[in-house]
Amino acid sequence: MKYVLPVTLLSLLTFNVSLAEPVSGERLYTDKCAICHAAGELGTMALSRRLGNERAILNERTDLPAEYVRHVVRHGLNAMPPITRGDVTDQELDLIVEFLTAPH
Amino acid sequence: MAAKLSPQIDERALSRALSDFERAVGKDAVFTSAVDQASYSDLYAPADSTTHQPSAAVTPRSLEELQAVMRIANEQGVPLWTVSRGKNLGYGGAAPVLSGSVVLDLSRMNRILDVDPRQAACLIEPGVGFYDLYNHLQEQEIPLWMSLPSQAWGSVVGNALDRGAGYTPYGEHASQICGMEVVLPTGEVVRTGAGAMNNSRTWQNFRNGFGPGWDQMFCQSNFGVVSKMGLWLMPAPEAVLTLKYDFQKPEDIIWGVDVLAELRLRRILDSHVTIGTPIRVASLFSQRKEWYDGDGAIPDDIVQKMMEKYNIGFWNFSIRLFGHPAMLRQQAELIKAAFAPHSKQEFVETWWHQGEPVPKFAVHVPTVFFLNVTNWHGGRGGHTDFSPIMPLDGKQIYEQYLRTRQRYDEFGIDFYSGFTLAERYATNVNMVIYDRDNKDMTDRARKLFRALIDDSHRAGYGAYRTHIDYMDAIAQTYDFNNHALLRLNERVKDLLDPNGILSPGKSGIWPRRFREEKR
Ligand SMILES: Cc1cc2nc3c(=O)[nH]c(=O)nc-3n(C[C@H](O)[C@H](O)[C@H](O)COP(=O)(O)OP(=O)(O)OC[C@H]3O[C@@H](n4cnc5c(N)ncnc54)[C@H](O)[C@@H]3O)c2cc1C
Repeated sequence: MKYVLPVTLLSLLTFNVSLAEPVSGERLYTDKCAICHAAGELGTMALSRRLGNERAILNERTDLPAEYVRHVVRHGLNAMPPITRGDVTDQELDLIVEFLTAPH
Repeated sequence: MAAKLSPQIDERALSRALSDFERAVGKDAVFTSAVDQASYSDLYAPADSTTHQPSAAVTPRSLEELQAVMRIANEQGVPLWTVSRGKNLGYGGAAPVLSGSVVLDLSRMNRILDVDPRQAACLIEPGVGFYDLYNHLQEQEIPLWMSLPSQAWGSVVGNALDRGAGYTPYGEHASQICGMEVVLPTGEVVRTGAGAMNNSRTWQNFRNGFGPGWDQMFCQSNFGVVSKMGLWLMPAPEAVLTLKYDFQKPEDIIWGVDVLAELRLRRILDSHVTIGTPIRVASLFSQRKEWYDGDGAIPDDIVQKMMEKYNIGFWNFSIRLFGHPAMLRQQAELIKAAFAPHSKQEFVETWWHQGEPVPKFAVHVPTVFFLNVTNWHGGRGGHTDFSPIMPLDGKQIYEQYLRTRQRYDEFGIDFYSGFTLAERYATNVNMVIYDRDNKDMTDRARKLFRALIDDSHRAGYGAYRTHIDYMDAIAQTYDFNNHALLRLNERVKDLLDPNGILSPGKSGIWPRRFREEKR
């Protein structure tokens, strides 16, 4: 198990949450969006109330225009608050949009 | 520029500062558009969110960049408002007290510098979110648990600095702080506690170091910017035993709190217990209109329907015990024995053992599900919290319930209240939930909040933390010897922050130049 690394060695390692490796759109979606938009979470509940179950899970949707995603992220929508550029950078948002709008 | 600048902020100085920030940290780390300003304002603001709108935000990535930002703010006399992740929802989010301040957003200083499994401690930067630290512990298979607020979108450091609460034995978050690195308003870097020694090997072991201890001075203050924090974590327990219980009648809380208080003091029970009303449950899983569409506070017969639907009482709570199963069984026996003379009702027991799948809403796993409460009215929901501290005394708590309940009814706001029992005090969390776009409702919410402050003040209970709108009002309630504490805070502020640039108005503490102008 990794946690038995000597403490001195461990303390040489630092972990930068957003800059470590090139992060994929999917990973960013999981970290930044799925906390509300995974199945059973509050964003999904809100969408299923508004649009029905079949359109409630964002990463299963095929009808999301890129500009619309960008707009909702930066402006918020109903109970969803706007997401700051400190939290999700413009480059990260591009990757998330690419992931959500890629043919699937 | 869309943001309303407070008269104390000079527009030309601000514009020079923004250009200097861009040179120091890069254009991609300074946000000035109207969309940026709105995204950094109070996301739950009742009605007008421009009252506390920032003019910009700046996001340094390193200690050096942070110092550069503070130097520029001093040169130009431009106020900053420090946040770690700025998800202080219910208390103002990322928004400053003083409109037009520049949000100093530390989200991008997000390194987990060290997690020491044997000493059960970590050293982290302010941008590290609860999810980040949780994922790190999981991915590295480190057998330590963190304590979490019930909405975990925020920052481990920011939450601890605002004296947040969680639901494990480490739930009083400010009490787990062990050593900090702080940038003082003038730019000097200080390490507190044992970290004041260059080659210290006990920074995360020993809080006090030598001489006065300063860690708590940087909680809920505007005396410095915390750039690193040491924090104690809990060794992962072998098991968790949850004991669910409810009190059917409002007055049962009198004996209930007294029994729980005794168990808490004797440390048979060693984590926070939150006792909440039925709307607390209903608002998680449903919306108001499913129950009631009338004006005014939801009436008793509807509350009764909620109790029936969810099979709950008027007051509901779970006791959680953490540790070796043999210990937990003994603790559970003692708890049941303490309740037995008062009621025949049984506890609903749920066991979890290491290795078993972790249930949804386990207290050590981050979730944001609880934000659902703000969806109660639909539309753009919001809430503020009035949270006075009370002694662990059943009679006083029942009287507080009657008093606040009456106020909610008077102002026509649904009664959503709870008591979180710590070892020697209870936090009376009064959630005031509203539809942000309903002016009449938000006006009533504000009036209710004011009435609650005054009532509690009269009864001798002060708030432990508050929304940016009420920082002066709460500071005024701490009024011994003509506000001697506030004057001490102001003296310290003037000494440490001569140009008055750091978070003016935080906790009611205004630097000299703003105090004079305010008068
Ligand atoms: C439904 C709901 C449930 C909630 N439940 C809980 C709960 O159970 N427990 C709880 O504690 N809170 C709770 N909250 C309140 C709040 O959302 C959390 O406390 C959240 O963690 C705070 O945001 P943050 O961590 O991003 O802190 P931030 O907003 O980053 O910081 C909070 C404040 O601390 C100060 N600060 C931050 N960073 C620094 C720094 N580096 N140096 C100096 N000062 C700094 C600033 O004054 C700042 O305004 C709840 C809110 C909602 C809406």
